[in-house]
Amino acid sequence: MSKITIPIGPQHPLLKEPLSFRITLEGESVIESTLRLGYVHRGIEKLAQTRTYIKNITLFERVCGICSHIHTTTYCQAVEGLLDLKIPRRGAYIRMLLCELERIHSHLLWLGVLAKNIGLNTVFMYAWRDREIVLDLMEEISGGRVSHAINTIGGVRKDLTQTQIEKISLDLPVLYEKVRELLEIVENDRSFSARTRGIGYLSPQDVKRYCVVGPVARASGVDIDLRRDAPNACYAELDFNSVTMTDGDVWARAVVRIMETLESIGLSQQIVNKIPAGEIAVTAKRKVPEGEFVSRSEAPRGEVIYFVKSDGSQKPKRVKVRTPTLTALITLPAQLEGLQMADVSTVIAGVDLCIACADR
Amino acid sequence: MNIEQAYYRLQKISAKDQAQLLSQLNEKQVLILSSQLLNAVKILLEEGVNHLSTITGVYQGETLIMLYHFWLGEGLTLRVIIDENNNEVDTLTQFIPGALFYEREIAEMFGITINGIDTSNKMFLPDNWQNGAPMRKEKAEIAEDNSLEDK
Repeated sequence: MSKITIPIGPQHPLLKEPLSFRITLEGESVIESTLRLGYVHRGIEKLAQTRTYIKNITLFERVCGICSHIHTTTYCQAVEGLLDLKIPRRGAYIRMLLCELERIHSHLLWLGVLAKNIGLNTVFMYAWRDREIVLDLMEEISGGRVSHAINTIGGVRKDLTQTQIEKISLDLPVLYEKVRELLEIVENDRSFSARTRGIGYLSPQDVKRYCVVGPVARASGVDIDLRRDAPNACYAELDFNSVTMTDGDVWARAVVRIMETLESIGLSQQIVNKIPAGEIAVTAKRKVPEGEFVSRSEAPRGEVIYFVKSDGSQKPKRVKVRTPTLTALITLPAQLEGLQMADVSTVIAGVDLCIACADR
Repeated sequence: MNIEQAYYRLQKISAKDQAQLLSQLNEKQVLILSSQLLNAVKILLEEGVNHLSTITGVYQGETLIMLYHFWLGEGLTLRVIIDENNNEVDTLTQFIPGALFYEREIAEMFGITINGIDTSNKMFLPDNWQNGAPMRKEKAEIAEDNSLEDK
């Protein structure tokens, strides 16, 4: 049978961000695929070297358009580590609260994208409708729906008021019920199962070989969650479970993410219940002592790592960012091999790509 | 099978005479020559340290260093000295296929030859990019950078 190569991207209705796939088919089966990044490469790492530490927070907020808060959190943790600063507990709790709300928002957004890619427009509408609840909460807290601009070196910039805490406590149970309904659909709906079960399988061995992180790894039974394994902020004081499954396909990734959303709603509730009184930030020096710091956090898509090198001045000598999407992208050729052309969209959506993150 | 044991074994192949290239880091680090990289990675894999978080290129003075950030419950960084004359390093993809994109990125951004991977097509930079390796600091540029800093 003759082979045919189909380009998907950089501009394609299937992709929400520019990325280029070349998929070689034999009949309807994928036999090879290659990918190319760089269409939204903004040179953030190089740019960061020319800006002061405090200005870089604004820059790193823009690495990702979905999980912007975790990037500034991880960056601030690294700079605080170099400055040997301990941020006030109330500040750390507010940071954690936004991290968890962001995880809820990211997972619901992803569920909508996956559902749309497999043709379940109702689930797409439901997921994005319910996501509005958490976006409104984040807007209430920080003033921004996606870019929060709440982190600063030494803590956070805005305090949480009693009215906000009450609103969060009131809205989270509503959201919990709605996400439970979504979980029911994902677990039991026949069409959803038919399109996602057994598709895009990754074995635990593959996950380890490709150094995959986050929900994709956990859906294959590799239990890594940096909130538990390398707790920063105050995660050690909270009670939560890391969700794992062993199926390793797109269906398992969907279930893992939605169950994680439920966990995050519980975590957010715990955070607002336990939030201590006190200061939200401490003053940080402008000049950062010489040294290097590696900071890791659990973003919605998995481990995000920041490396910051300081030479004692007001500007970093080098900042390296590695986002979790890059680890998921590398598995795509292996996942796509042997699949039908019609399943390609499911697999691409299933790993939760954020190309702006991967390109930086 | 733990990171302490790996760290202890790695000390034996570390480049102790180049200690001026070390820098204060918040996790365990081992300084090695690029010729020892594959041996070091074999030791790490034998001890179960199989998660490579990323590879960072960084300048220590005028020497280019590649930092391989590994992780198993805690971090361990391999600090690999890149020899200025041959400017190349071996690929890890035979042991850790997940290293491919990090290596391709670093090959493009720092202009290093990674032996064993195909870098004929661009991964991040435009296809018609003519301006060399954007993150690479030539000696003149290092001097210029220092003069621009806030004192």
